[in-house]
Amino acid sequence: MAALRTARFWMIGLFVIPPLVLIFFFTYYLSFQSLRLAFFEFSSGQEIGFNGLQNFRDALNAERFGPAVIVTLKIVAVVTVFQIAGGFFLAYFLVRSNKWVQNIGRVAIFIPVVLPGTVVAILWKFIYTPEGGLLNTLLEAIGLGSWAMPWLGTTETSLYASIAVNIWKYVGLTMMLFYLAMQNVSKDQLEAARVDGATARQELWYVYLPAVKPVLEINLVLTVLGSLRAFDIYNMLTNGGPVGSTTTLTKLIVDNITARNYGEGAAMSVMLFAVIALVTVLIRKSFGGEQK
Amino acid sequence: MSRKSRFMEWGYSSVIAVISLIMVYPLLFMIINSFKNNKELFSNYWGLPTVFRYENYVRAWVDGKLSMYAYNSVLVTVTATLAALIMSTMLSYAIVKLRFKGANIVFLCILFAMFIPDEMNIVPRFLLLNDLGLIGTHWNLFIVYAVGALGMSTFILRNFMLSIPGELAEAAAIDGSGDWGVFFKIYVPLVVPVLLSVTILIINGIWGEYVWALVSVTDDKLRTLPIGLTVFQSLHGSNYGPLMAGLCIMTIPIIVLFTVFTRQFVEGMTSGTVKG
Repeated sequence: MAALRTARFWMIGLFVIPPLVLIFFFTYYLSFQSLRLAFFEFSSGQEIGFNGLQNFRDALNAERFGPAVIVTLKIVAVVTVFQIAGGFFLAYFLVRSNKWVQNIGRVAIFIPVVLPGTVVAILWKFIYTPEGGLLNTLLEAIGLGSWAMPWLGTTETSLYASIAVNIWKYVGLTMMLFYLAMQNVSKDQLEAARVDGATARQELWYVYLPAVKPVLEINLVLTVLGSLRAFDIYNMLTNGGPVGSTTTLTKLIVDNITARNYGEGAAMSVMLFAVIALVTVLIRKSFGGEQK
Repeated sequence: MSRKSRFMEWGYSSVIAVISLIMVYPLLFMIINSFKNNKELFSNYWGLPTVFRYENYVRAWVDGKLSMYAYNSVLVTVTATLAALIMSTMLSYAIVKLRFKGANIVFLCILFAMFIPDEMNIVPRFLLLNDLGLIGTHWNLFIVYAVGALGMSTFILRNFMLSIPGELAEAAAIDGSGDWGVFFKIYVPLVVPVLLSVTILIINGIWGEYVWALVSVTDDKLRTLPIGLTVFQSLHGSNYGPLMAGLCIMTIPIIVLFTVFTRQFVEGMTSGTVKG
């Protein structure tokens, strides 16, 4: 028995300690470091001393900070509204479609979710190319040539063109989560609603919407948090331009690291983390109580 | 089914069909035009290639150095995925089955770590790995990706292992299996289907990872495909055939995996998101 217990002791050590040490080192320790670095001054990449809240002040006063906040908030608002509504209606249309279309459609709409971000960005950069790009060529082909424009090249359109790519890539995931939840709606529930003479709209409102409510919370957290952290597609499509019109908060963090302004970068990370934590709690709270 | 609802079904189906086409068309366009040169692209924009220019792939693979980037990507993806899978399977088993003091605390630590956004750690992680002298090596991406996948896979595996009935392990123990026997003969085989979903989730995440690769890898010889392709694009961006071929090279492994394991992909991606 004692031998068995020692054997188990060693097994626990072997199974638990390596991953636990790695997690501690690479998340908790680093987050703590991030918090600490935010209060230190750096000069050409070297830590030179404590400087209180100066990094936060510098970050907030940076010329690019205000516009980046607005860009990020626009992304949050537009992506959340269109992706959630789009995902919901796609899922609803999907469960209402015939089996054949349903099987193909759910896979087809999901495909962009699994594509690497780089591929998506480079592909769409081509689609948006002013001369010979897919979108403008298509517009010309159907007689809307006057609508053709450099989609990523003007400050008015670059952000929304990028947001469209963002939604194109991820709407399949939102849809799939809604769709899986809607499949839990039983035939009996639908029968009952129909016997009671529910219209299609009432059915949508009173049968499908309650069924997807728990998933709605997950979808909200995913889209809002994902948008707050938006970076890769936007950076690859436009490198933040033109004139900062697609520069997000995460882009500022990354730029600070590349410029070796580690203190300011860390201060921004800390602030972004605070916002993300706050938003998560708010979403949870607003759904809380009704669940479980 | 009444005539009206049949009509409605037809309406919904056609909307879904049109949207499916819009979602997939860019991908089809990319594949079709990876076989044309620029002249053929602009003279025959919407059609299939008349001559298949396989040399586009050669140009991307050799001149565009995608062979090197792909090698780095495969190396990092395979090793980091394996490391994450092995560690998280072992850790989940220990948490669920070896019942040690603090098992729940360990699990909570791992769960909570998943909620720390990666951006928070970018700066100090770079400084740490730089101090360790690992930034200029393959170890950098390997460690960061393996640890990054650890939380999610432990979370999914642990939840699944909880649903394995304890009687199975007890029966095996009566037959003389120790903890190791139960682990290898009962838990590992039972966990394989879930492991497949987790594997796909991890591979998909690492294969396309952009932010950390962008920040930390400055040596072109160590670059993975996500950054390598943007380098290729900036050098040959207006030569569309080879560019599309390069995109196809990076996409093909994922599309093949997706076609073979569609169900696991969807399960992995959706259960991976439902973490709270």
